Amino acid sequence: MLNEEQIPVSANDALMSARTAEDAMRQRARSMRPLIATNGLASGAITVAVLLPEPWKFVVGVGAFLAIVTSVWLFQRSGSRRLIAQPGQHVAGRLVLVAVMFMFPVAGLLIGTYTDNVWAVVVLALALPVIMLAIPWWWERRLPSTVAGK
Amino acid sequence: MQAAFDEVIHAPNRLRITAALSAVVSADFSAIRDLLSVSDSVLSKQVKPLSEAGYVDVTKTVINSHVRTSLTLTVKGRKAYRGHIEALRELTANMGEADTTVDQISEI
Repeated sequence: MLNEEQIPVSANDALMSARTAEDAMRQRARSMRPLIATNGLASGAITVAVLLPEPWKFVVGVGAFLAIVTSVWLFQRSGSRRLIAQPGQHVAGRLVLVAVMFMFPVAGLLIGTYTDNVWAVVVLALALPVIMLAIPWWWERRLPSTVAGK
Repeated sequence: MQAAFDEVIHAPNRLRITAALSAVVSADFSAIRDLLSVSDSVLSKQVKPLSEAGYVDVTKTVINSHVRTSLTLTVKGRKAYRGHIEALRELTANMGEADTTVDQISEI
């Protein structure tokens, strides 16, 4: 294979370059974690705040349904693997995250509504931030371990 | 991991491309371009040999009439990259701080 960049590259420099590129990419892939966590926390808090007023339940329910349907549609179009590298940079990625944020409060709303168990709603809504932390962690866990950075 | 120097990967930009892709499952063309601070054409030129060698998968997806290109390091590419890094490590270990050029590497 002809190398178009026939310039001498020391092994040390090459290793350093590879390590820098790996770290930069890994940092970029992980950079969404604080934002996801913040969104999760804010979403959970807002959801808890609006749980009890009856009219909001309908609004949240409809919004969640639309978000889920739209995100699934976009998710299928874009391909899931892109979301692993750049979950927050892509519309589908954002919507999937929003859908996940809504799904649990909606489940809580249903349980709370039909069982009169408001605590189930609160617990599920509060569980959301934990889930939003766990998903990025799972993504990172699947990232290949550092090669150049050992 | 068996050390194996790989000329396709060793070119500076290609090494950075494979290194960046090794850290994720896949990445947008634009993400790699920005990371390397190169133009689209330069990145395309560098990705082509990697693709031809079976190291990188180039996937084009049409979203709202826009074509988005994703790059993925294949299993073969990942193995080659790891082998190449291992070879570089062996070279640096054997030669200490001495500068190791491409020509020296090819002689080994």
